[in-house]
Amino acid sequence: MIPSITYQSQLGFPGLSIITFTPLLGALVIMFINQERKQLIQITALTFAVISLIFGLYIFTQFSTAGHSMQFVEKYSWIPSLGVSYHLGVDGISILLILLTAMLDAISILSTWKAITERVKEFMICMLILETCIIGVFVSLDLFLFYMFWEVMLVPMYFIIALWGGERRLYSAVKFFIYTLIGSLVMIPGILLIYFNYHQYALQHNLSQLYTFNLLKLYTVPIPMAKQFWIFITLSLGFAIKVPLVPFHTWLPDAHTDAPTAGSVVLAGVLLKVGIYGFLRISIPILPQISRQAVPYIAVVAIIGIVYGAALALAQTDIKRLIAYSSVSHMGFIMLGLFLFNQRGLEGGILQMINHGLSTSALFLIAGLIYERRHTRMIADFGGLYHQLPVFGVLFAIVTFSSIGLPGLNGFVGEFLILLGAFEANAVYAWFLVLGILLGAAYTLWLYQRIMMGKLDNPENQKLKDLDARELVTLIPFIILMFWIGLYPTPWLNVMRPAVETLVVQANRPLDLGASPQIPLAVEKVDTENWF
Amino acid sequence: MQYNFVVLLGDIKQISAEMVIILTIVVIMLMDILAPRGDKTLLAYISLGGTLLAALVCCTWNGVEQSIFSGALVVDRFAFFFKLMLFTITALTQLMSINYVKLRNINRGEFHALVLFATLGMLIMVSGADLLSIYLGLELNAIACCVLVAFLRQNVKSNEAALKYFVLSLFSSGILLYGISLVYGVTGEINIYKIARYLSGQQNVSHPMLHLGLVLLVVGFGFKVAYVPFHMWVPDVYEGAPISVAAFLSLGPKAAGFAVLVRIVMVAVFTLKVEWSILFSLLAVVTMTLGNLTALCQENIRRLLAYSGIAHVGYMLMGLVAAANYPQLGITSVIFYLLCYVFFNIGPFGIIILLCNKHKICEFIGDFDGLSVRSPLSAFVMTIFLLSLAGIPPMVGFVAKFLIFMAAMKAELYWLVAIGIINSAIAMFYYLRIVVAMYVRAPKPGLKINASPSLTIALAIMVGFTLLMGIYPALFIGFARYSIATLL
Repeated sequence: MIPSITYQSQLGFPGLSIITFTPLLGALVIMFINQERKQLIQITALTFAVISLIFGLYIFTQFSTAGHSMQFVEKYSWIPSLGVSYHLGVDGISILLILLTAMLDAISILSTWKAITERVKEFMICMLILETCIIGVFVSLDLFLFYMFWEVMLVPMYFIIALWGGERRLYSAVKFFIYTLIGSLVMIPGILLIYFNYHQYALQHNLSQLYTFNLLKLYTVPIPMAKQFWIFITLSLGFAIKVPLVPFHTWLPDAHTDAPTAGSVVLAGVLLKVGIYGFLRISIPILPQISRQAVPYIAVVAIIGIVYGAALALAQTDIKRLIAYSSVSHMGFIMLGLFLFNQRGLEGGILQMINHGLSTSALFLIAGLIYERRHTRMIADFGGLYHQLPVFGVLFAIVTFSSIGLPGLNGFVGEFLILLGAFEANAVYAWFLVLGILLGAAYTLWLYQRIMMGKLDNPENQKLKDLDARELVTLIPFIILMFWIGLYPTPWLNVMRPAVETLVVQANRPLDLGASPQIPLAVEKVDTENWF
Repeated sequence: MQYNFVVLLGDIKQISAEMVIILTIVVIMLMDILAPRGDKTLLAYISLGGTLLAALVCCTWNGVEQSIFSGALVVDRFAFFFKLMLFTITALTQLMSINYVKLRNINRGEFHALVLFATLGMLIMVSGADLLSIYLGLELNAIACCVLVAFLRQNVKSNEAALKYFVLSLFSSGILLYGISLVYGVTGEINIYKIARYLSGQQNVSHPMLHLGLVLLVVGFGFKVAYVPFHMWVPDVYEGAPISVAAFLSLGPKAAGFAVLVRIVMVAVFTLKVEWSILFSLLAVVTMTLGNLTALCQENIRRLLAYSGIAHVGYMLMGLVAAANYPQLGITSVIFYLLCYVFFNIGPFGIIILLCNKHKICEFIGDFDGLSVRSPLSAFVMTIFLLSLAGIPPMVGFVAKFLIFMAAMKAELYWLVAIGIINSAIAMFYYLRIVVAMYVRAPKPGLKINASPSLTIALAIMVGFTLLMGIYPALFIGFARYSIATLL
């Protein structure tokens, strides 16, 4: 049986498959390298991650910001009897996340050069498989494929935490695994409800294809409200655990704290975005009506997350735990921005996904750098490091400012757009967002102050060395991107704009059960005045 | 039609695969007697060769469906599917046994002959078209299996297991026979297709005696398929029996039992689908829940696998329940599950054998401690099997479970799906325990990997199929759909 092929990539070669599976290929290659040759393993892993990144950048240059359709589409029949196809494609939202993933994975592999000395082989295999799965989630346009990548993702992450983590690694790893596994299992009925709803609709409208997991086709099919409710509940539970939204966030501080630096970077940088991406790619376009009705509830949960996460962050004594709770707060921020369903809120939310990926990953890298030097993560053990580590101090400061949204840096742009969207939609939300920003500034600056400022009175801190070249290389890309997005965000916003416009139209679609299966892709021109 | 010698020869030609097995048994037994002393490894290879030859002969089937021996057996796609599955199970068992029987000092001709006897019984079961020939196959299988379980004569546990197996097997056979007699009493037929014809001609099929007969049949097969509450023998037998026999029992009788069950409920008493779907949905819930909860607190790896196997039967029963309303999807999901279950359920037994040596056998989860350091490859392979059992993609266990849930969702059995999902989450805990033991715990001295070429081949086949079927399931789903097309 040779699968039928419809191949529409404008590249002339299956670019998305290459980006997705290059890391997996790397993992396979590493499997055949002797585990004693650690350096070779590290270089191989880095090479494959960088190849994936280079292909990502190349595809990014070929990406067209003109149309509203999916680009670089690849479609092969996979399990025809179930309507499953191997269907990849990207729009302006996913391509940014793919780039972020490829970049973070390459950087985090580089950052483990010295931190991971045992079982290097297994570690690199896990990191590379993890990269394949995350990119796979972002490029899938088939619900079945999406779910497969979504669930495989747990396994390498579990091993990364359980094998190379901190003191309570086993507890944290199992907690992470069980939480997210339950989340993804609960999604199965939701996915199947969507699937069989399409089937019913196809029978009624004499569509040629009776079964499909093709997301683009599923978008076109209206779903009765009662069904939407249950689908939304099940899917949202899966996504919310991943995001994580309060009250499903308790796995996150443990997992972040106990994961090795590279694990935390990938976890905070992209793994959390996968949950939000699920809302964007599946919940909102397929279930727009119930999503609109759910806005108040999501908003309440998000606001609780913002305030509660920030409050807990203020009380932490462990650097990584503090950053972890700050993620809970930031994630609430992003969710609220997205569920405003207007152009600015969505743009801001998506940009903030990237921003959070950059700033929090950088913070985790910094925490890792300190930990590698001092083997402690307690804030109280530090103080006055600025005198000893000036270069490090400057970079740490930039990252801190980026995280709290100082104008001129990336965080500001995203937060400002979300605030604009919030004032447009509901001013009450906006005030809570402002409160969240204030608290964010408080705990992040206070963290910086306690570690870097003051007197260098701990004798153990007086012998620390400043950053070396490799460590600088891991941090510099973050700094460049932070300034770039902060000072000139237009190209980034232009990339995502068509996708966001489509999403706004999809999200505000009325429910018409008798509608013919056509998607209103021709979007009215939304006000796209440039704000920056 | 007059039954004469020509027809008989034609019928025998239809069961040539079974004839190959019988001939192999005869050859093995003769050679065993003619060369009483010495190494019996040759016999193991002969039995393996016989199985493979039988599978080849089976594949030459021309696709014509007919009933043979005056309707006692039937040659159809459904039987063909299960025969191939049974040959696979047997061949894998034999591959795993070659070295293991030498290790445990049970390398005797009878062992290899009995495995084939058990297979023969199952072959008759899956192609049986009347209740008596099914019963005949079931008994042949049960007796052979019973002796196989007791093969470690010096071992108390093995003897205990065999006794339990024997007594329960007798009981269930009695119950089954009583059920058959009741069904016969109401319908006047023992042929499955004739029962179906009789019942579809009736206005009112809800005859209490027929109901009782159906319940007794379900109880009788419950022993073979091992759903709760007829599962009591499973953990003890898995624990006591030689490991390769436990692997064989974990699938062979289960597959054959499911084949018979499907044939009976989907053909003979399909008119009673409301009744049996309720029965099976209750059994499914109890089976998976009890199986999973009990597996959680097992320390013995084989008992754990036994309970996990029971839980998996619960998932399969879900598909059977769904088949009451959507036969195509429901039965496809069940038999696809069985097909891939062959590979990832026998697999862990292979790894257990790998960890056994002359002095010590792998018994507890603790024996897996630090396997990833001692033998990264076998730990990796075991992880693949466990993840497949847990239903994590891209292993085939995921596709299988997804299909079962799909069938149940289509039949709108939402509550059953909910329970199934809770159970899948629970199951993850105990599979994860083994993974943790292998990767996180410090290695224990003493247990060495004891790889032999035949075992390695078996493991490679199983892990290969677990991944291949998971990544490209279309081919196998297609085969499952093809095989039930004429049954329903």
